[in-house]
Amino acid sequence: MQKVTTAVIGFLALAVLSAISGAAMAQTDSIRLEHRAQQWETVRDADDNETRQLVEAARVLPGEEVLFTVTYTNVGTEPAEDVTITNPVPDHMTYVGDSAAGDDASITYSVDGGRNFGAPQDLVVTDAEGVQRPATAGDYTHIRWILGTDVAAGSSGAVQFTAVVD
Amino acid sequence: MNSRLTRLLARTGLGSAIILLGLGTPLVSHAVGTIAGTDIDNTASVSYEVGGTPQTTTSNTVTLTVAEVLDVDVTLLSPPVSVAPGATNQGMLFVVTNTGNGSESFSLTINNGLGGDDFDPVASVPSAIYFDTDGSGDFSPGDTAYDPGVNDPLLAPDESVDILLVNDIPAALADGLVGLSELGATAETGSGDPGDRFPGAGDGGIDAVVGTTRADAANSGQYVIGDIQIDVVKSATVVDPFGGTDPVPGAEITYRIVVTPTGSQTATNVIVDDPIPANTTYLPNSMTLNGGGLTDAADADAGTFTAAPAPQVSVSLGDLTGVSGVQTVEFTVTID
Repeated sequence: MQKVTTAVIGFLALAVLSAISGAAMAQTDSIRLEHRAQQWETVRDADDNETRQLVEAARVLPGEEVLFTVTYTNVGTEPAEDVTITNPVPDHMTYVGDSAAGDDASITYSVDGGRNFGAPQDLVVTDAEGVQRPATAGDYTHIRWILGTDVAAGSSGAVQFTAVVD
Repeated sequence: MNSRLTRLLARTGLGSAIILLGLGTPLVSHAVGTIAGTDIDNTASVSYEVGGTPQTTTSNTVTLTVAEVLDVDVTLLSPPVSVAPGATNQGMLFVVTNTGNGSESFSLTINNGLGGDDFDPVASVPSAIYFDTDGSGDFSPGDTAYDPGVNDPLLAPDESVDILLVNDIPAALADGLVGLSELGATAETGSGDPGDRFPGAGDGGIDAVVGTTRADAANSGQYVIGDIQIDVVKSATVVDPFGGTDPVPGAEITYRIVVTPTGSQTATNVIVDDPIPANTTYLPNSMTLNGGGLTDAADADAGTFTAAPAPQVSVSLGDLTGVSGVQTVEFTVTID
């Protein structure tokens, strides 16, 4: 009986501890990321003029392109340094070559699940027979943006890429 | 030793006939994208330092759901079907493939009223659409009749089903006249213009969207009045190095392929192709046609031996009619 009580108290203590640390972490987060997925939609007005506009993506079809945008905001009081944003190319999607963008960001890619990153011309993939070939956009598993400048308190920016549904 | 190895029955009225001995049925394959209903999740992460302290944060997760694309393909598998006037229950084989990315039922229709032909085949009763249940490729007693709304084929993405159209041929038609019969397949969830959307109607309540095929496909095949049948019988004779008939290494096997045309029509450009069996080697310049020697080179004579990608002999018999008579091709291989 005694043992059981101790165990329960121990469990409760642990729960309280993690609640405190969770709150503490939330307070020290300086960068907040907001992720959205959008698609280009062509609308035709009464005069038959076509314009393209971005709409939020929810239902997609194989072959459709989706524009992913990650907005970063420094909600803290101090500048954030060495800001590096990483985004996997989603399962069931293929990265569209040269679509990654970001102001003042150096962009590198991974072809090995995010373990190593490099410039497109430096990436190689090895096929099942052990033969190496230069990587193409379809091989990319992750995209990484390294921002060239610090993100000042209160400022924000965005990085983007496009992928197509397999 | 004289065994009947294979027997092919080719019926043809127009176009070319290629007699391919051995294995191999080409299958039509279609690419289907990500399966309908798949959720695609994506989360970004950021690492940075504040006042020298490393920190990481993740973004919200965006989720995309793959909608169902409604697409279908109907392909004719039968060559033109040679038929006699007044013939009944003449089958024609098609394959219906779900080229969409979700499970879908398809309704099937037959149309014999097409333009551009000489006569209209008459849909057989009680049913003119059958599943090729026994996989024979021909209309046979084991095949199940299609009953609209009752046994509409439900196909997974990329799955296909063989369908037979079965028609009767009107009497008193002249040789060479052509009648068309068409099989149509339509997605039951909906069809229409590409991009037409059926909210909530797809697999598991997701949206369904009409694809490039309009989710409605049709294809037709020909019945041709007249008849030409080509019987092919292959046999083999073994001579071993010791004067016997044992198939031992070094023994020679002479294959004989006897092609017998019968009927009133012409089979054009008939070619006998026969792959050299595994573990044997073709004996150079051993091909003969009706007893006359043929060289292996692709030249003016009817025979050609091709070493790659797979060794085979090929003998062109040209146009055959019922009065062309029996054509006999022979060639010899050595057991390795």
